[in-house]
Amino acid sequence: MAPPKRSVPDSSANGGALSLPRQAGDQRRDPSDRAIAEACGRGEAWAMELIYHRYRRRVYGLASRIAGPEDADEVAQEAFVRILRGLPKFRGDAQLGTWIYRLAVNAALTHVTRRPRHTEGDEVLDNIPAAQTSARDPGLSARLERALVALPAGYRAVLVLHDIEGLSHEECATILECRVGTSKSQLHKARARMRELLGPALAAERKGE
Amino acid sequence: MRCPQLQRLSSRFLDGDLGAERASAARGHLRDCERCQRAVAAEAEIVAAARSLPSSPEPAQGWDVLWGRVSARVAEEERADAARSAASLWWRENRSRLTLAVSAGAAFAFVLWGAPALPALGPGPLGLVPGSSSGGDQAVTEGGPERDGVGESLAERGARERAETDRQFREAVSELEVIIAEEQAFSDGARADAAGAELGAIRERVRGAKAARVALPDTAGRPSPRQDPVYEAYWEELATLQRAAVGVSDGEPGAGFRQDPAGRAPATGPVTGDDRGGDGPQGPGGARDSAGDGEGTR
Repeated sequence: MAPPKRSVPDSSANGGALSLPRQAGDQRRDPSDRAIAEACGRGEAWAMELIYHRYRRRVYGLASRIAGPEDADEVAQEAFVRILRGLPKFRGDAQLGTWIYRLAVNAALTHVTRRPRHTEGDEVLDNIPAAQTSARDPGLSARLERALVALPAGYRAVLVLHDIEGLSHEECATILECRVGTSKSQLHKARARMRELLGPALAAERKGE
Repeated sequence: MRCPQLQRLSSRFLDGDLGAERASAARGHLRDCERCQRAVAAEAEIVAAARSLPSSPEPAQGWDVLWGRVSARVAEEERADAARSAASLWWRENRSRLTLAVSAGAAFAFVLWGAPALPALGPGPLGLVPGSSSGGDQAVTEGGPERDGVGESLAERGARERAETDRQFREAVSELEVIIAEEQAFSDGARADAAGAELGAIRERVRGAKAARVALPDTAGRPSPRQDPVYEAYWEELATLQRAAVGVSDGEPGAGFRQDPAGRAPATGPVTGDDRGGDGPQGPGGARDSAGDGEGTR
């Protein structure tokens, strides 16, 4: 069951609906990563907006799923501030998308470790609604989103990156700054924990089939 | 293949990450083991549900509102930077580089210190000679100098690490002296004068550290890195540089540099996510550095 490849977006991907000011001879229509970083360093608004529009969905998604939907706005804001202020330091030795993911994940994990501990374990299980009758009902997705909250933050990060965002273990390892083998083993533990959390709901679902 | 093996490899099996032989064995086991079938089916269902989740929720107040907040924060922080002293800005740019230099040197000192305790297995990957000494810049053993396999003895490498750390510190002090001299010329000078006095203290400390380095005892009498006067001096220099640059006194966030036995930077030290470009290490399942900013947090 190889994951559907989403891969970290690179700068050649066409971003959101952003109208860039026209200027003959410049690189604004298809700027390279380095050109964007340098323009951000000069404080050029078009480059900062380009980054925001191109990566806002991915960054917000990571913030929401790693830090929780209630804190997603705050974490996404913090992540983008770090990204836009850090871009002048981007050296181009990694893909820009990977670097942005790394900052977003770090912002989310920092937020998680600083806030009071969230409800976990049995409390979360209690909050997971009973299974509905269809085999692949929308309720499973909702329960899965809620069970994510019960995972340790590191497990959550690797599961979100690999299983939800569809990144490879190599990309996960780069973003999380760990070895590929560590990414694999952590994902295995994360899934095992999810199975524990969702097992009763899944079993009930199967009985209802 | 038995149940524990399959359970250990289930994720890799589902991801198609097992070699042909082990995948075949897993399929064979699953044919006859209902318990593993249920476990793998449950995991597959969770993975499929995860992959079918929408890739991103959206902010309740819309993307434009979020962008407005982001751009306002960036503007606010850049204005705050404009109000900082030149020495403070220099410190923010350089503290992670200096801390890393000391950490690397101190970590290597720890390796050197532990080398005599390595098992006596003959010349190994590092070319260590059993029972040899590894301390001191001039350490030579019966079998010749300890070699790291590329023609440089461990002692030579230790000396090189220290020299590199020392060079970075001297460069840092010189740069900061120039910046503080400029501030003394263009400002009321009170804080710059204090910073200049701190730099004078650093120069004294340098002399002391060099004397301590010469006197570093060898072999069994050598102190552990926890007491290594060279790296202890470096950590103290970092704190002094910070005080000179930003005027933070002991006891304030980020002021106290302390080394640990492995020579790593302190967990509550002044290297923040921002200093590392916000991309500091955070392995899966690990704890995140929540270090404060030497100049206060935003």
